[in-house]
Amino acid sequence: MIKHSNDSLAALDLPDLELRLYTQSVDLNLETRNRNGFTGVIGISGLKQDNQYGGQRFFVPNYILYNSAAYTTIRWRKMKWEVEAGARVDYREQSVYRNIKGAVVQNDYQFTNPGLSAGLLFKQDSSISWTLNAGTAYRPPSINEWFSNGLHHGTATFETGDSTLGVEKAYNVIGGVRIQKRKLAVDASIYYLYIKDYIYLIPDESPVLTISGAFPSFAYSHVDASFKGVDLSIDWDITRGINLRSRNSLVFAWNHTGNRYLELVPSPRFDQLLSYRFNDTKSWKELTLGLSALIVAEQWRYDEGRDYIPPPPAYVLPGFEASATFSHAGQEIRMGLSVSNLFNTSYREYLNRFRYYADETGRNITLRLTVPLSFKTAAHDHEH
Amino acid sequence: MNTIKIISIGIFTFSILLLASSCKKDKTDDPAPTNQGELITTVQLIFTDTITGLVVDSATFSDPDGPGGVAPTQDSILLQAGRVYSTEVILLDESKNPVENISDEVAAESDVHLFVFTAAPASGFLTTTISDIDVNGQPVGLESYLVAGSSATGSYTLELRHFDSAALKQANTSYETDVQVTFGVRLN
Repeated sequence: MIKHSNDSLAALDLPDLELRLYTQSVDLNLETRNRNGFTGVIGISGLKQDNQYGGQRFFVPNYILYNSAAYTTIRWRKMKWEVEAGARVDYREQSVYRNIKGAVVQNDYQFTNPGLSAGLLFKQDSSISWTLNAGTAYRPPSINEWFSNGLHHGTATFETGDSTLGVEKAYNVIGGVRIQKRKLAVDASIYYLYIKDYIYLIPDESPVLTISGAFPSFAYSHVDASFKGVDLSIDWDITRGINLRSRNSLVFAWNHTGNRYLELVPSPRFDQLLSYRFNDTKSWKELTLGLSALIVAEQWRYDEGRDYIPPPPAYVLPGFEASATFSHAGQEIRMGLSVSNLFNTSYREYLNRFRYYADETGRNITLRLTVPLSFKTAAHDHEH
Repeated sequence: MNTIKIISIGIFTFSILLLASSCKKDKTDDPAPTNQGELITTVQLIFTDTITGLVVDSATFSDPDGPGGVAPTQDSILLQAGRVYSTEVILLDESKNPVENISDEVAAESDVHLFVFTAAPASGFLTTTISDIDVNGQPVGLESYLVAGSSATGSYTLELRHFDSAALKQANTSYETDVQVTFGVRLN
C-alpha cells in the first residue's frame, strides 16, 4: 500500500494504491527405487493466484490464475556416467478483469506449455566432473507484461504492457566442468540460450509528461534474442593462510529481430577476494583479514540512443573485511568488520532503474558482534 | 510406513480442497473503476496586471485523461518586461463531470500545502513573492506576486508540495510532489 497523496481518498482513509495477491500452491512427488541404475520421479503441481487492486492508481488489473503441471524425470547411472531426461507440461488458465469506464471487461486466456530437458554427467575421476545439459522451456507472459499501465510505485517509471505478446520459447545448452581438489575448487560453465519472443521492458523514445512532472517511460516488447556467456568461480588456497576467492561472469546478448545489441543486459563482472588467515592463538581464533575488489566493466554492447542515458562507465569497488573469534573463560565472541566501497566511489549500476536519477550507495561499514549464549553449566560440561 | 502414507494423502487432499474452496466470492471479478478519487488534471496560472487590474495572460497545463494515454496540452506564458503581476493558481479535475475545483481543497488544507515557484534563468528574470498564508503564518502560493525583469525567454516551474503534517511543512521536509509543471516564458 502506498500513502495517499490525495485528499478525498485520505478523508475516506483509503490508500492511493492497494494490491492484494493471494497465492496457493500444492505439489505431489513420487520417487521410484533404484532398478538397474534407473531412478525416476513423477509429480504434479497446482497453483492458484488471485490478485485484486484498490485505491485510485491503476497498475495491474484483477485476475485469477490457475496453473497445473505434470512432470517426470528419469535418471540412469552407470560407472562414471549419469544420464538424465525430463519432461514437463503446464496448463494455465487466466481470467483478467478490468473496469474500463465503468464497464467490467473480462478476458480469458489458456496456455499449454511443454518443456523438455536432457543432461549428461561424466565423472573423470574423484575430483573432476563434466556436465552437458540441454533443454527447452515455454513461458506465458505474466500479467504485468500484458496489462501494466501506469506509474510504477517502486521505480518512478511509467510502464506500459502489450496484450499481443505471445509465449516465450527458450532453448538452451550449457556445458560445465567442476574441479574439487584439496586446495582448489573451480566451477566453470559456458552456455548458449536462444529465446524466441523474449519479453522485456525497453525504454520508450520519450518520457511521459504528467501533471507531477516527466517520468521515464518503458514498454514491454518482444524480440528473438540470444545470450551466450561464461561463469567462472575459483576458490584457491594459494599457500599457507592465503586464499583467493574469485567470481566472474560474462554475458553477451544479441537482438536477432532488430539485428543489434539487446538492451539492459548485465556488463562483465569480476569479484575477487584475497584473504589471509592468521594462526590461532589461545584467545584469538580464525583471525582473517581480506581485501576485495569488485570490477564491473561498462556495457559497451549498446546502440546509441536506445535509452534515456547511455550505460554508466566501468567501476572498481575495493573492499576490506576482517573477522575473528575471541574467547575468554569459555565465552566466545565472534567479531566481523566489513567495509564495502572503501573509497566512497560514486558509481551507477546499469541494471538499476534509479541510475537515471541517483548514484548507488557510498561507503558502507558493517560491524557484527555475535555472542553465543551458552546455558550449559560447568558440571554439565564435565559429564560430556 | 502405511500411517505416514495415509497422512500424506490426507494432507494432499486437504490442500486440494483448500485450493478449490478458497475461491470465495470476492470482488476479483468485479473491479471498481480507478481514478474514482481526486485527480489533478489541470493547472491554470492567471496573471493580472497590478496597475491596470486587467487579466493579461493565462497559461494552462491540461491532461484530462490523467497520466499516460493522450499526451497533455500546455501553453506558454507571455508577459511584459518590467511589470508586476499578481498570479492566481487554479487546479482542476477535468476528468469529472461537473469539473471539480481542487484549488479549493488545497486552500482548505493550506497548512500542509506549499507552492514552490522556480524561474530559469534564476536571476533578473522572474521574481516570485507568495502573498497568501496559512493558519500558521506559512506561505501557501495560491496567490503570489510576480515581478517581470528584463526581456528574455526562459521557463517558470510550479511545484505543489503536499506535506505529511503542518509541522513538517514548517521544516520544509517530508512531502510528496502533487504537481510539477514547467511553462515556457517570454518577456517582451
